[in-house]
Amino acid sequence: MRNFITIGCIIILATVFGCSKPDHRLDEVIYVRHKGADMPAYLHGNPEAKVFVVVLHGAGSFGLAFRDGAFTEVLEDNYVVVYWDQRGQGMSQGRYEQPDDLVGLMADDVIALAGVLRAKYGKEIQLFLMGHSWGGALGTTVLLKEGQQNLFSGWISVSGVHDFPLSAESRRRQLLSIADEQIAMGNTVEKWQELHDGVSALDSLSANDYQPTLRYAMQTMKLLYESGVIEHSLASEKLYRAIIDNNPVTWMVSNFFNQPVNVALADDYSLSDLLPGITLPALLIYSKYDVSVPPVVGRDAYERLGSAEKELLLFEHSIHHPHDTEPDRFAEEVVRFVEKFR
Amino acid sequence: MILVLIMHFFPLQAQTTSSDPLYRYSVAYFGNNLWNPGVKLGMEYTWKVKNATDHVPNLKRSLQKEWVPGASIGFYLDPGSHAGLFSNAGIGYRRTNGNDRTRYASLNPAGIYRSFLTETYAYDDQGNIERVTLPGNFYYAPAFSIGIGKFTGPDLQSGWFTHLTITTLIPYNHWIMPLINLEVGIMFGKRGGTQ
Repeated sequence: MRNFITIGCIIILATVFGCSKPDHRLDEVIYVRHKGADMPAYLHGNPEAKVFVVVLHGAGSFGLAFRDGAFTEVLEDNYVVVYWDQRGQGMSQGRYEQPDDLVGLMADDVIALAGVLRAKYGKEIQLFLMGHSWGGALGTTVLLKEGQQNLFSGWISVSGVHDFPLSAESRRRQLLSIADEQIAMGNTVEKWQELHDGVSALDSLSANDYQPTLRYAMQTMKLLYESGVIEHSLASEKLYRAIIDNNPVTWMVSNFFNQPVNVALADDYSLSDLLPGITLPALLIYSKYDVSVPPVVGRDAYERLGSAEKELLLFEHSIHHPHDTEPDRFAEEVVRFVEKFR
Repeated sequence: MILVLIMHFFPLQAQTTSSDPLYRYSVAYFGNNLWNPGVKLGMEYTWKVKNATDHVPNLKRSLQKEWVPGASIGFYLDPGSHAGLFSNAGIGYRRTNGNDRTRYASLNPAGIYRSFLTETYAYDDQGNIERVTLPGNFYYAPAFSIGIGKFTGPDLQSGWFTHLTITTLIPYNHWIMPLINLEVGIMFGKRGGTQ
């Protein structure tokens, strides 16, 4: 009996600890060291297609914030997704002086990441660059660096900003447009009318009205959620990433001390005139109800890009995170784009 | 760790209730961000002790107040990201009431921290890529702790404790980074002979 139990335990232990990952999975964490910063890249997915999707997160975010829904259920099944913490964000660490050209240096960090990925996983891998919100500005800056576009096979901008003044100016029009639409639909008319009247009084070009505009933007999002126009839920997986996978204190303190988006805002950062210089295939995904980076910014990018192959998609039931609010469509469109150009 | 050894073999002159100085050693679970697991070993030395009586209405209770210089060394693992090795030294203050329950605070201005990263590749301006050996960074790491505990053994030598420790890494990127840590551990004491 004792021997039977012993053998049984050995079998159980061998089964549990002998289980290996499926052959088609890559799950690794590597760091890229560049000019004083050590930046983690969390690689998860299927390496068989030799396609790596590099995700540039938005302002105040971190790489693993994207690792749920469309990314884990579809994109990781097809490709390797590289969830990367930018300099001074997420779990990035190191010691360096604050540079004069922070955005330029962060773009060089992306180039370093691309170089490291090729060196480690093979020169034959294809990289697709995806930038969300501020990540759109960062990705656009990378692609405009001389001779660097050929590092990537495609560019995916998800509510990406390439022109901060345009984004700020168009916010007011976007807020009024959404309010008009909701009033016409008869949704909580009184609250939308109150918001409409408040926004109407703002001067979109005035720096003094920047904070009030943002407050109305938050109020707009709240009303859209309350009236059910946009479904709002916090996936448990996203919470897990924020608190367990990530160190929330490190993430929030890093964000407090380092906000490259503020540098871009202060500099009125605009790449509009340079967009014709981007010629690689581009997929632009914007959201109808985005009050942070309104769809007019996406239309401007689409018209200016020099790419022969470019697409602009409008997600009708999303605010600023279409990958969260319309994950099925998001995954489908990204896979379609990557498959077309890989 | 050097500070711990120095304190052990070259103790400060003590004023204790016993003729011999008291050393206490501790071992604790060290939870970085609460659940990144680690271990912390510590040593403290009873430098100044004062017995007092605390008068509160209808109750007279005894108190022991002690200043305890100490040092520690510890390690934690943030799975899939990094590990940290650290050492601190400073001075603590402990009040023990008549029920042997303690309140504790310490300030550790001497501290060093070394992070250990996963596979790291360095990229230079010429596009050269090199794998980094033992990747990580050193930081100055002062720390501050507060906590409670209870002596369970005789002569207030041993017991348990729980501390909240904030360790600050400087310079982290180009600013500072606080680490919030939870310690739960036990301590045991030993009377040492005078040197």
